[in-house]
Amino acid sequence: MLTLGIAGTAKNTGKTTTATLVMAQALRRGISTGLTGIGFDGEELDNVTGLPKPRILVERGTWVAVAEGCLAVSEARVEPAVRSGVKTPLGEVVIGEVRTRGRLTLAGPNKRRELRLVLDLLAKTDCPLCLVDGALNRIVPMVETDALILATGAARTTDLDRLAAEAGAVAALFALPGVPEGVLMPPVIALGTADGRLEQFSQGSLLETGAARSVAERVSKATTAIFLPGIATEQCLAELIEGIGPRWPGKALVLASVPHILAFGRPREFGGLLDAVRGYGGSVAVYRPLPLLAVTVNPFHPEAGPQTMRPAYVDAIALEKAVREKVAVPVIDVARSGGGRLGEIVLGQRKESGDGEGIGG
Amino acid sequence: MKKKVLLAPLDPVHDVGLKMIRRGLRDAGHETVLLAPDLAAGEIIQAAFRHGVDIILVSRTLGYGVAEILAGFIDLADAAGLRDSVRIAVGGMAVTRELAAELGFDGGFGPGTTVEEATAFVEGREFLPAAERAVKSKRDLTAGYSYRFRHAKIARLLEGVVDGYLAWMDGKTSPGAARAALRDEFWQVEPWLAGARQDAFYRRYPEYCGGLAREYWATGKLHPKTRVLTGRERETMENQVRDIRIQAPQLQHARPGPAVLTQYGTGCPLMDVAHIKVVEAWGADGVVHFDPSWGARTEGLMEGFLTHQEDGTVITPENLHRIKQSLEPSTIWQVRAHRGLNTAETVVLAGKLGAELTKINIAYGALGGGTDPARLAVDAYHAVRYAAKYNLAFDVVTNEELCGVPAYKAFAGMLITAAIALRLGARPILQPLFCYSPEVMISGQMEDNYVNYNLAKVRVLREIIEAPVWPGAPIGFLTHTEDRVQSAVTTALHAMLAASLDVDAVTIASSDEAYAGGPITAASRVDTLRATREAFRFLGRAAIQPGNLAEFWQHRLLAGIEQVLEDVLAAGGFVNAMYQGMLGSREDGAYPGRAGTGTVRERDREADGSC
Amino acid sequence: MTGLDNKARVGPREEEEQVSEAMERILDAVDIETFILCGSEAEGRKLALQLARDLGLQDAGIVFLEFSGPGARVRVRAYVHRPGDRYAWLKPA
Repeated sequence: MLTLGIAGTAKNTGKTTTATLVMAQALRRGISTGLTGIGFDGEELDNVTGLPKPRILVERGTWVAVAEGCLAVSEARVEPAVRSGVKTPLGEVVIGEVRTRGRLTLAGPNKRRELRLVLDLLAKTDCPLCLVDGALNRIVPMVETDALILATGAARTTDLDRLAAEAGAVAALFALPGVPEGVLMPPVIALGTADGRLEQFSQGSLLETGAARSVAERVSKATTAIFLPGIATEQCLAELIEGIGPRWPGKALVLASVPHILAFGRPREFGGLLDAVRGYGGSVAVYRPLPLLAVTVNPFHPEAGPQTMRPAYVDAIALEKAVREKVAVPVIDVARSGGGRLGEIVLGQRKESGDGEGIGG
Repeated sequence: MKKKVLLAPLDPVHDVGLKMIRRGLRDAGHETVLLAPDLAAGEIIQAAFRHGVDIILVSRTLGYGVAEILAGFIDLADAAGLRDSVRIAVGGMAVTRELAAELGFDGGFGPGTTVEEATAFVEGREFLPAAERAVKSKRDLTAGYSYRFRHAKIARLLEGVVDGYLAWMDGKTSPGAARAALRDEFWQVEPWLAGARQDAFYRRYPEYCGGLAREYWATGKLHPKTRVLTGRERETMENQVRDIRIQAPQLQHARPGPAVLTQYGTGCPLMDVAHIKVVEAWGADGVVHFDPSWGARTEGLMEGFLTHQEDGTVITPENLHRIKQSLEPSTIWQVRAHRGLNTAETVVLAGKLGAELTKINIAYGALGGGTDPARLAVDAYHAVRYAAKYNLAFDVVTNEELCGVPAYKAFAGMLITAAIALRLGARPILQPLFCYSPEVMISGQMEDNYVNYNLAKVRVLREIIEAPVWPGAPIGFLTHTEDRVQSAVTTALHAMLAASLDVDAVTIASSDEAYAGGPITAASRVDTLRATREAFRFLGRAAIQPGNLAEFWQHRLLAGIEQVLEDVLAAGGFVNAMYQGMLGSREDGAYPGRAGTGTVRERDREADGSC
Repeated sequence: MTGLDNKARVGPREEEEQVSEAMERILDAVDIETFILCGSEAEGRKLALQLARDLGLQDAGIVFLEFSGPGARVRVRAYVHRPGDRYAWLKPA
């Protein structure tokens, strides 16, 4: 099963449209889909029930993993088959098959470990494809997926240059290479050598510059890898990088995953720091690579009207062009070009998944 | 299991909420670390690692972009590996439980969250508001009172009045007393519920009835404004009531009292039950049954589950029983008996059906309630004895003030009834009115404020006797207008004064009190309960400082009471004094009632073996 | 797990039914509180009652009206159920 995460850079960037189109493409090819979500996009609560409004259309035969409380407020009729044991405030996450098509409130596991559990259960449904709908400002649970689509657009910012630069920085991060087979990430920060020895520190994350300096001080000629299993703030990362400075050649900075970097919400700044590593002659790798399959763009953005927010749009062609110039993966305006290209990218990728690309399974 | 808790304000404002929670957590023995405001998410996570905490409570007081910031924080915590070992909750104005949870938090605390709730989260307990609070217990308004007279002269005068009254009473009876005796001896609740015949009661009862009640027992004809509720209506109501779960708030704050009672009597027992459930849910400690005004003038009670189209709910065994069944266990229930031809029997019925309180006042019933003084003097004697027998405390209301009788005369009447009650072994509760009475309108005691005179009334009673005091009824009477805000405020302010005086109970009106155009609504009952709760919160254990005139009025009242009691004795006793106007004259606005005139009989010693 | 699929789903039709059901859940009365711009108390009264009629409320009366300056603070009440009526909320289960 390929699990595909769909993450947005902001609300209204077209995450749901993207997910819906991918599912439609799968349906057209006779592929059944699994679907879960890692939360919901704030504000979409129903005034009466206080629960998130159903927003994603699911077809009969789709397998979904959602909190029990979602079922009562959804149009789609779901027949639950398995309970996951994952408890959320909207009830336990249950896995079931859609019996009647309709809109679904999609709130599932919202911790990384719980998403893993639920995905493992969904894998047993024999769906070849499983989508994980993202949630507002949540990217870290996506570590548990096999590949990602990023939805961005004017709702993030209407400054197209900034938008494109940010998308470019995110895409560049996702292009970071993985580690060679057999290399394991230690549970705490560690310095590794070519012969496999590890010098371990007490923490998993770098959150104090003092700690970053002491790690840098311990780096020796023999060090080949600096393992960082948690997170690091910009300042700490800068301290570490500058502390090692000219000693970088022959050494790799091994980060947990791209979402671990993106959690700070500053892809351009972090991208710049990693460039500095390479500038010193070092290299950067991620322990858990997460291929970015495509970036979808959406010209829509809400604009303040005299009394309420009203819809507004940036120039769609200019948007797509600007992002395409900065991003190496396919860029698709899903509203304009429909789901065909998206389908090729995702479902084509699935066929290649047996080719040793490290995707799928 | 003691926990280590990190308290982190996630915005530039230092959150007072976190500080309150910190105090609560410390009191519960937990270790807390309070961070400075305006730290970056990474710094908060670092602090969590450094201190090795079990719990993180973040606060976010600003609403703008709250979802993004919170989701971002939890994402970082997840990436840093905190998420599996540390439980994280968020509190703040814009936070709802659903939102917080869906953003990946383990708990979310919105406005109105209590420290107990946050503590429960820290301790990993499920927070059950109902279970957390002490279960509301039923209050005994007379508990702890010695009923010792503090004013020797008044005690002596009252003793003389009571002696005279008891001598006058000797050998007298009335149809009301006879019905009460029948009800007491031959009518029992259990057989009645079981549908047993109880012939000894029903065969003889109609002969002691008059007017409407006699017609009812003879022909089954009801009062024209009543109808029998259907079995289906009754069953449905009972089912609905059974499903209502009340987690009543405590209205009182810091001080234990006063208990807050509200009146009901919409005419329809079903609507009454609906209103009772509302007031219980909003914290009322007790409810008072109001019957129609014609009930007091009717010789005898009817039966059946009856609804009435106008104010006042008919007293029948069915109505009272159904209402009683609907009450929460902690709700005090008062059934008024005080003023009419059924006074004694109502006490018996209320006692048998489980009321805690009734209401009896001879002077008011005779001078303001329309009942012949001699008749009520006879019936009330029995009523008081039954109250003692059925363990019903009762207030002695002074509503004759509303007719224009000056407070000192009304108080003299109240004290006489109270003294009779004490002689007969009953537990009276003094009920001075907190009202803007005709007396003060004319004489100006409240020209400057409502505090001094109301306060003087309570203090003078306490100067005379150590007894429970329950201002009524309702407090602030005649200060209410049709404006609900004004109405709720005046109720709350009078309640505050009552609390300041540490009285035992108050009866409050709804904010519809002054509206004559239709029945009182449930929403208007909520208004004044909320307002009263706020007043209690405002006052706490502080007290209202009266003006200089309070003491002056207190002395005047005391002197007036003394004088009236002397006049009563000089007039040849209590009953004569009522006819002669010592306890309220025609000039004052009080008229001896005529209902039941000529019905007092010398007891037929063979036929009557009752008390 | 059987109960899960029987949960009511809210579609357009159910929403309509809920609207009419709302009136049936009124315990006793509906109050409308507002401020009406008017030139006199009498005009305020007229407009207040007109408002109740426009909103389709029967059995309406003015609980409170205070005119001053630019208009009237008003509270209009329409009884949905008076005591002794057959209450819509009292429905057999």
